[in-house]
Amino acid sequence: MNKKSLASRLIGALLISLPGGVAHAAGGAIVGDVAKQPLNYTAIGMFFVFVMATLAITWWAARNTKTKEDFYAAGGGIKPWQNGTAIAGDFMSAATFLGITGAIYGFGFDALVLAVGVMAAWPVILFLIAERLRNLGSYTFIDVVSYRLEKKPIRIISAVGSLSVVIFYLIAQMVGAGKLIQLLFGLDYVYAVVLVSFLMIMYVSFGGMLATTWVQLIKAILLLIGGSFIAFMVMKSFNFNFEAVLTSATEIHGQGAAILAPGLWLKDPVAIMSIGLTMMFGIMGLPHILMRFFTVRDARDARKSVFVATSLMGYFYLLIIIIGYGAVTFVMDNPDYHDAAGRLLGGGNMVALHLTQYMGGNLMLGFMSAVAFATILAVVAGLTLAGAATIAHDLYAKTIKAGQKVSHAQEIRVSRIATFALGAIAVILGIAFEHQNVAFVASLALAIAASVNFPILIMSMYWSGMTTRGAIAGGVTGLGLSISLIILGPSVWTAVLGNAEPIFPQVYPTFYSMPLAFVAIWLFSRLDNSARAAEEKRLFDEQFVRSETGIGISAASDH
Amino acid sequence: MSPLDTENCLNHPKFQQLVRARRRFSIAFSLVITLGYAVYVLGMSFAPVFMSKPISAGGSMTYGILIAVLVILSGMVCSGFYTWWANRTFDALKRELLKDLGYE
Repeated sequence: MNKKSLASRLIGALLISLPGGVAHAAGGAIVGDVAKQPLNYTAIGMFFVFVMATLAITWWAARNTKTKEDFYAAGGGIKPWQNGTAIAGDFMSAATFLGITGAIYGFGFDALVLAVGVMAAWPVILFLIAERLRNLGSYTFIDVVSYRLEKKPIRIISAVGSLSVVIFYLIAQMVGAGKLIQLLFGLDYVYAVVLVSFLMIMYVSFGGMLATTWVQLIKAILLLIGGSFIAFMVMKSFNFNFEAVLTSATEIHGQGAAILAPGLWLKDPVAIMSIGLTMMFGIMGLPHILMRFFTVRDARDARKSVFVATSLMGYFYLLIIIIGYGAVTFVMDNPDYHDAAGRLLGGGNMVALHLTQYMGGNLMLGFMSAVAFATILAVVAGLTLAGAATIAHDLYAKTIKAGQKVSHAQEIRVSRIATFALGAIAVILGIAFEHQNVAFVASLALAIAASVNFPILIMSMYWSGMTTRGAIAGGVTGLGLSISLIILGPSVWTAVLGNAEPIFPQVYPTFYSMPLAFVAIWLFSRLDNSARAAEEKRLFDEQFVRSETGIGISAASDH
Repeated sequence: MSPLDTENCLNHPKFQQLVRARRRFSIAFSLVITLGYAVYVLGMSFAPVFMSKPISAGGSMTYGILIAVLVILSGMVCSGFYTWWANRTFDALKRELLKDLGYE
C-alpha cells in the first residue's frame, strides 16, 4: 500500500475528530467520541494497586490532619521538592499526556503552544507571585486579595471566580474520566464518574491537603518514569538524533513538512494570541495551583517549589514533544492501531498509549493506562480541595460568620460537607454532560482564571491604587465577558447550540476579556474617591512591607 | 505591626536595598521570559514563513521548533538561576533586615 495515501487518509480522519480534542487539551479535559475497548485486566489491576496505596496514605494523612491549617495547607509542612513535584503533577495531566501528544501527532507545531504557554507562565509566577503570595496569605489566594480591601464583597467576587474555575474544570475532568475508563479499562462511563467522585471525596475529606499532595506526587513520579521510558525508546530508535525523529515524521505524515510549521490548527493571529494569553495568564489564576504555595514553610520554600515544578514540567514537555512526533513514525501507518476503515483505534487521545504499547508491550500499556487514569483522580482531588477551602474558609468562616469565632472543628466540618457536595455535583454534571461537547468548559475555566482571578490578584499585590470598587468592577467585567463571549463563540453557539455561524469568532475570549478587566480595575479605582478607598491605599504600605519581608507570615508545622 | 514599624521598615536602607534588588531582578527575568514567549506567539501569528524555515538547508528542525524548545529551556534555566540567586542574596539581606528591626 502507498504509505503516503494511507497517511493522508488517516490525518484526514484525525483532523475531523480532533479540533475539540485539542481545544480541550489546553484546559484539561478529554473530549471527542470514544469507543469502549475490551476489558484491560492489567490496567485495572495496576490501577487497583494505586488506589490501595493512596488510600493507605489517606489513612496516614487523616491521623495528621487535626487543625484547619492541616486541612487546607498540610500545616505548611510540605517540603519544597514534594510541593514542586505535586505542582508539576497538576500540569502533567491526562490532557497533557494524551491530549497534547495527540494534538502534536495530528497538527504538529501549533499544538506546542499548549506546552510553551505553561512554561512561560511558571517562571513569571516565580518572579512576581510566589513569594508575595506565600508571605501574605494563609490558605487561599483570596486571603491575599482581601488583605487591605473590604473583606466581604472581595471574598464574594473572588470566590465566584474561584468556584467557577473549579466547577468548570471538574466537569471537564469528570467527562474525561468517563471517556478514558472506556478506552483504557473497557469499563462503562458511569463507573468512572462514580469511582472518581468517591475516591476524591475520600482523599480530600479525610486526608485534606496532605493526602491530596501525596496522591499528586506519586502520580507525577509514575508518569515521569513512564514518559521517560517511552521518549527514551523513541530516541533510541533514532540513535538519539532528534532531527531524525522530525524527518521521519514528515515523511510519514500526510501533511509532510507542514507539521513542523505553524498553521495546521490555529488559523489567524487573534486566535493564536488569545490562546497564548489564556495559557500564560490563566495558569496564574488557577485556585488549586495558587493554594499549593501555602503548603510550604515560607517564601524561600515557595521559591524552591516553583523551581522544582518548572524543571519537571519543562522536562516532561520535552518528552511530550518527542513522544508526539515519534508517534507519527510508529503509530500512523501501523495497521495494528487502526481499524479496517483506517481509523485510529480509540481516536486521537490514544496516540500516546498506542506508542506505549509499541515500545513496551501490554504490561507497559497497562501501567501507563492506570497512571493516565490516576492523573484525573489526582487533579480532581486538588480542585475539590480548592473549592472546599473557598466555601468553608472564604465564604463560611470569613464572610457568613465574619467577626465571629469559628472553631477549627466547625470549619473542617463545613469543608467536608462542601467536599461531599462538590463530589455530588461532579457526579450529576458528569452524567449530564456525557454526550455534550465539553471543550468549552475547559476553555471557560482558563479564561475565567485569566480574566477574573489573575487581574485582581496581581493588581492587589502590585498596585497601591487598587480599591475595592475597582477590584469588583474588574472581576465583574472579566467574568461577564468570559462567559458571554464563550457562549457567543464557536464552542457553545455552534458546537452546543447548533447555530451555523458563531457571533464571536474566537474560542478563547481572553484577548478581549483580560485587558478589559484590567482597564475596569484601573478606571473604577481611579474614580473611587471614598474615604474607604483612601484607607485602602494607605494600607498598601503595610501590605508591601509584609509581602517583601514575610513579617507576620502564617505559621508552619512539621510532619 | 503598628504603623510606626511600617514607616521604620520602609525607610530602612536594607529594606530599600532588598526591594530595589528584587525588583530589578524579577522585572528583568520576567521580561526575558515574556519576550521569548512573545517572539514565539507573534512569530506564529505574523511570521509563519520564518517559523517554517529549516535552520540548516536540508534539515528538518525549523526555527519555530527551535524557538519553542528554547522558551521551554529558558524557563527552566531562568527559574533555576533566580532561585539560586535569591536564596543566596535576598534571604541573607532579609535576615539582616529583620535582625535590625528586632524580629529575630
